[in-house]
Amino acid sequence: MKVNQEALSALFSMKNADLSTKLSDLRKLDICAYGVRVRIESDIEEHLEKILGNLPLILPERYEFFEGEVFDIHFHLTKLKNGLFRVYRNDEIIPSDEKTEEYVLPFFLNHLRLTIAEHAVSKVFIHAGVVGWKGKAIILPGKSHAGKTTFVSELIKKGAEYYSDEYAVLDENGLVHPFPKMLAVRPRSLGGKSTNVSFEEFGAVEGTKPIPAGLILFANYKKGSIWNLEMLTQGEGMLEIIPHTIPIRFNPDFALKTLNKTLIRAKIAKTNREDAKHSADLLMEYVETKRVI
Amino acid sequence: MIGSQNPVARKDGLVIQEMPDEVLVYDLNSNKAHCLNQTAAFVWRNCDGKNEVADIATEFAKHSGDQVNEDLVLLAIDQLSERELLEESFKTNFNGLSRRDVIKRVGLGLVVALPLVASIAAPTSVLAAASCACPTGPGECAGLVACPSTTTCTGGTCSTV
Repeated sequence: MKVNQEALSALFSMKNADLSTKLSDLRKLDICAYGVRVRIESDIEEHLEKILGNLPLILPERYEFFEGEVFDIHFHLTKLKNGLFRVYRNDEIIPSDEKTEEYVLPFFLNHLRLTIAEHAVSKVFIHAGVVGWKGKAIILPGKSHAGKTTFVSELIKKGAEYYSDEYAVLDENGLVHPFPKMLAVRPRSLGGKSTNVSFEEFGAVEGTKPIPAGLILFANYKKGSIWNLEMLTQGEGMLEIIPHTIPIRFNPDFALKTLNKTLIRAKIAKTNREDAKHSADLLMEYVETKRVI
Repeated sequence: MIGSQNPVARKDGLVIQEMPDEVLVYDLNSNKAHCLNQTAAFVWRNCDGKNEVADIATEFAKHSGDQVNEDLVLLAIDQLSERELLEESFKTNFNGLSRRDVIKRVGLGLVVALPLVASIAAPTSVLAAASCACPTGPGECAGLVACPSTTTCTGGTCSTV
């Protein structure tokens, strides 16, 4: 992937001269995101340029560069004698196949984002799509490839504010923060491969403020299923959301306190669903007629 | 025959989150989360090593205003013990009846909810919770280039470990 200096410069509000300096001396990349200080090094300098170019996609405007030798996580992309790559985190191999030049960066970027999500300070990351509606968040927990992006895209077409198609970011007061990465849509025309699309292309607006949760909906895509909302207790909701809670093993105490503060304000429901557009219609009908939010 | 020891709720290695009507218990040893409904939570709180099963039943009757017998308490203790939420395993024997039969018997005419402990395991890794799950096998891993392995599915994750 080429690095577009003008675009990056505008994004980071850095002067072109400053960015050129950073790129020309790119033996390491020190970033801080959500309170996690990460140093990234690679045997291949070009990797760091590509990682820099991809940062806005995986951490949408929520990181900064830092100076100094104190960091929490150290990544090193190591080229092996056979020409393949391994990725090390804090001097330990991240278990994986040996990666080709083509695959090492997607693998690393995935790990970088998950590491930050797991270690984030004073925030709990949930794997979920999130939209805002009348000042409240509708949180749609689900793993990747579970249809979150499709469902979120249908909701924002109906006027919901876009918060994220990947993470609900909860703070210690139980409020939901935006994580407005580009939507990773998987059109049939690309045979299931994903492409990044801005929420603006759906005619949507971005949610910018932290908001309380109004509804948490576990809506699993299942072909041939019927929409049938089952309301859950707060405890049942906690059990359902735990598998999607990224720091649950790393920091269970803070994760559970935060989840409690978030869920206590919200209605919690689950259903199977089929077509995303029809499901979005049904969801908004439910929200409006039952005055859930 | 009831277990001879008085049940004691486990405290070590647990993160406990109180909610208005339920208790969420996260076991740091097994990385499992358990949700105790109001009835199960009451029994668990009263497993202090001093209370016998009959004492807990008496306290529960006072608390709920409902007539309850020891079987209700034993149903809770049975589930708590099975999930290692007691200091020691507590053997319950419902006079030869199955748990199902006891539930039917206890449930008749009961106003309060039967005790229930629901459980779930936290995923083994952040990858399992994210984009590298392969619930139907290694075929799902091909093309998942961001995952540890694109060919091997181990423990439900596209990984060699």
